[in-house]
Amino acid sequence: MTVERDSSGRNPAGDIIAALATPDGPGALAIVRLCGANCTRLAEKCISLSPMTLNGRKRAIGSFEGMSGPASAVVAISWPRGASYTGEEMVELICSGAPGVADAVLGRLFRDGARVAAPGEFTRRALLNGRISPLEVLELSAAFRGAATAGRSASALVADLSRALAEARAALDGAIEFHDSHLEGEGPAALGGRFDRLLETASAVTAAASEVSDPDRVFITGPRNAGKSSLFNFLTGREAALVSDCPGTTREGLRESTDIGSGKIELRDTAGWTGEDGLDSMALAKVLEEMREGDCVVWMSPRGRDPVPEAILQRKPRLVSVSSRCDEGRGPGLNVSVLRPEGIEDLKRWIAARRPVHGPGAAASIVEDLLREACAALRAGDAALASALAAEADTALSEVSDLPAGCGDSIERALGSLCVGK
Amino acid sequence: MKAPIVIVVGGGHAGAEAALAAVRAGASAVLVTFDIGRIGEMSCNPAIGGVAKGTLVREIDALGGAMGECADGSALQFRMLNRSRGPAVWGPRVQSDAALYSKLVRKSLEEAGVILVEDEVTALSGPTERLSGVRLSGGRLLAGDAVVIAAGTFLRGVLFRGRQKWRGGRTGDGSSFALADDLERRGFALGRFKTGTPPRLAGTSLDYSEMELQCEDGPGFLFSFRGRRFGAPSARMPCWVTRTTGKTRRAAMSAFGESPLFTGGITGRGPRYCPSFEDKVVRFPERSEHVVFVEPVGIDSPLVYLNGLSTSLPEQAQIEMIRSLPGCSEARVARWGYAVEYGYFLPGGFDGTLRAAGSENLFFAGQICGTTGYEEAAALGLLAGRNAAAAALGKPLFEPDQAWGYIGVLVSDVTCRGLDEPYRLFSSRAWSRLHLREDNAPLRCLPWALEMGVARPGDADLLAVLEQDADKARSALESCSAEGVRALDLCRRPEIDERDLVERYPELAELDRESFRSAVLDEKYRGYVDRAARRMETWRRLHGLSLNSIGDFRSVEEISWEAREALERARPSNLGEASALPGVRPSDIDGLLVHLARTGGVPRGTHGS
Repeated sequence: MTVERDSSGRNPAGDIIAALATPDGPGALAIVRLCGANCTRLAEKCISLSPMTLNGRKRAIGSFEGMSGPASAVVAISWPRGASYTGEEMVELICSGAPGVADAVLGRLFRDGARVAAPGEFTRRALLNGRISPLEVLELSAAFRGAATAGRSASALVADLSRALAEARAALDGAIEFHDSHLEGEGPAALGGRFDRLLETASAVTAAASEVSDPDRVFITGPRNAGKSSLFNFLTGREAALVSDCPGTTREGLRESTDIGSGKIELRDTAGWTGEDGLDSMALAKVLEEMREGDCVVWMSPRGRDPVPEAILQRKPRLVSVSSRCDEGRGPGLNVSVLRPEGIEDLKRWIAARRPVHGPGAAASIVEDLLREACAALRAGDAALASALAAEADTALSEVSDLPAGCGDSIERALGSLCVGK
Repeated sequence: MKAPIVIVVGGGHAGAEAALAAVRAGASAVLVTFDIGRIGEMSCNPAIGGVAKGTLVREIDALGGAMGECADGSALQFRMLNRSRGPAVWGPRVQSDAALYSKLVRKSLEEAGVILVEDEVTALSGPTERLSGVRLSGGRLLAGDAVVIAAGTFLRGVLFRGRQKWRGGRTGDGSSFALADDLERRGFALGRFKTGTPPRLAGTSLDYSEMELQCEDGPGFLFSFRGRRFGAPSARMPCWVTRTTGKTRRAAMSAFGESPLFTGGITGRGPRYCPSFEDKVVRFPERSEHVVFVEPVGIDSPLVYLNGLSTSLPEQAQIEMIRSLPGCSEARVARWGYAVEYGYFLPGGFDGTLRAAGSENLFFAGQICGTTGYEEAAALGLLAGRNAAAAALGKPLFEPDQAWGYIGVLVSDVTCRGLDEPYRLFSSRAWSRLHLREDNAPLRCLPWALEMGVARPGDADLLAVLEQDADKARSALESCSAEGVRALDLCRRPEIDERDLVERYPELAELDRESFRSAVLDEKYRGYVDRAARRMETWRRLHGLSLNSIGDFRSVEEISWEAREALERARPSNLGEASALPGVRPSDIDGLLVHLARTGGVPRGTHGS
């Protein structure tokens, strides 16, 4: 879909953004990206091209006067509005990777009216212009996290499923309306096969969408030497945290992805809470800064003797208080011991049961459940019920890529996690 | 006080129900038609009902209409379509004795005291805002307090076969040009639609041994929940199935040069789901055969109807096509197929009560509202007749709600959607077909029949019995339990039906069977129906939500830029209009809601389901 602008050609964000799209430091090439209405004029001026050279989808070689010799040659590639990654007018300036060249080009562009792009701002514009879906933003972010997987991406699978679902619904409704009166349309066997295949695709969508979903974040917190690192190790199944009986061993927060129940969590070990020790307070301040509303917080203290600090309560987490090291003495609430082990399964169940239910993975598993019900209804000879379920699945599917209200946070985080030139 | 007079123009399926409903609602009805002998005629297919349509007939019956009883009384064959596709889409359908059906409709009108007038209505009389009656041929005034126009395909009806073209609403009948002119003078815009009918053959000229037999299926049913009123026809008749061949196709194609469809004679759009054979050849070039049903027209009629071979090709092509069908090599044609192009009122010309725009007492019903099908016409006729009587009596008008049933779906679709082809009712148009079933039509519609004043005497008692039976069945489902499993829980499993339940819980056998079956289906689908109802309710609430507080859509940060542009260009006044715009996605509608909540345009928490 192309994005039509009003006649003034007004830029949605009101300005031209520019950033280096390649890593800092010397290399063979450095690419500077520009985006926004009339950014081609800026680029033409910057590399001494005559005006309108970059009108439309063009490639041209110019020369950057701030440099001499081979380092002054710059290749410009332009995309018109509606045909670029962001949906807006865009230019990429491919410069020499020699130190200082890209910086000088950028400096010139900033002086002429461009401004520094915020992290993920190009992608944000693509999202706002409807060029990519929220799901694709999460995919990009996951790819930058290194979580990209081989095979079809979640958004490609959603597109597959969406197409197949539309066809299956049409075939099913055609059979309902016409089969008996006109002997037209597919029989039960063909329809059953269609829906079984749909279910397979839906399972693949769930798996792929869960991969790119924000993992549920679980913070293990508590006073020093409460056994946080032991629990962390136990849950992650490896010797990641440096464990010692000496209080305050964990200085830097450790994080590790692991499975609980049927979903992924990101488990975080944190520095012990003392409330006064300067070093630990700083580590703790860092944890508190990262903690967001809705995160899961496991507050643990031996015999449950320490109340949850106000600073944590203010973050409105999903909170569970645990009496730790219960092999040494029991306390109120959930008693946990890694040594025995005891209470660990209960804790896992607690975390799994309170997992937030939004995000593409959760949305996709709703689609999958609806299609599973639809298959069962078809087998039981209730095509009408199957059709109602397929319609619900269709609606739910749009939430996998578009994401319902309430998922704005994860999109913001994903955009923020992208590098500047993306 | 003398009862006010409702004048009904047209004696087809819409006109007949309109006159009957007007009488039940307390008015006197005068029905004006070209030919009293053709009242209630099945101008096309000799059949009533089908998927969704059959459910609509049961709703018409519950609303006091005559179509169900007449169909029951003239049925040559009962079939419940979709028996293997789930009870929510069962479609009762009968093959009718067309002459008998028409006779029963006329009998219903006469018994109700409807005055039948054989004449042509040439114009309306009096100002459109408040008509004083209609003008008949020769300029005579027929005075009345309200007017229902149910002219079917007769408004500027033109018939086509090959290069032949003549005026008429149906073969052998005249056409209403004068009335159409008067309506246009009064500011009503007419569009053009097209439909057609297949040839009728002499039944004795066919060799049925080359065709497949199609008989009545399973246990019988009646459309009318009140039971039989007119007795049953003296015999049952089967249908036959044959198929077109490559020869049929070639015969049709060789005459395309003379087809009014392809040479520009006909400009109106035809129904996509009831196409002519020449349409099928063009649209499905890969299909080597199409099914043709050979349907009897009646016990005393020598004719058979070729369902699936509607055509307006010239006679020579028609006979070649027919003789190419297995079993038809010696066929004699009794009536040729033809197409009819006719005027209909564009949406906006009338509202959901079927009252004409700008008038107190003019109503439209049937095919002139843009629909196709006897059942759709009858439903609209019933509503228009009732509302015409109410307007004349100074009572409030009714607009059927989608929750009542398909009649509400039909009216909402016809008045709100732009039609680009004749509208045919489909079960997939229902907001929840799991709720709008044929089995619960009386329970859904009887309360409205009573409220609108179109119920039959005794209907209030019948409703009380039905509701009592339904309550009994529901409580039995709740209380019955075997081996720790309640019947209520078991019945939600898709593979369990009411017979399985009776087997497992023998005490359920004592309940009224129909009510029990409905109660089981209600329980089975309750969750889905509730969800659908909530979606509809939310949507309805949100649909009218004003967007006027948004000064510039391009500054709404919660939605995509694409949507911002589309919205700013169109500047819709409410959320419903916004959602219909291309480029506006469901997530943008969510975004608009969030924006309105944030900026105080709507209270928080409005966005549900």
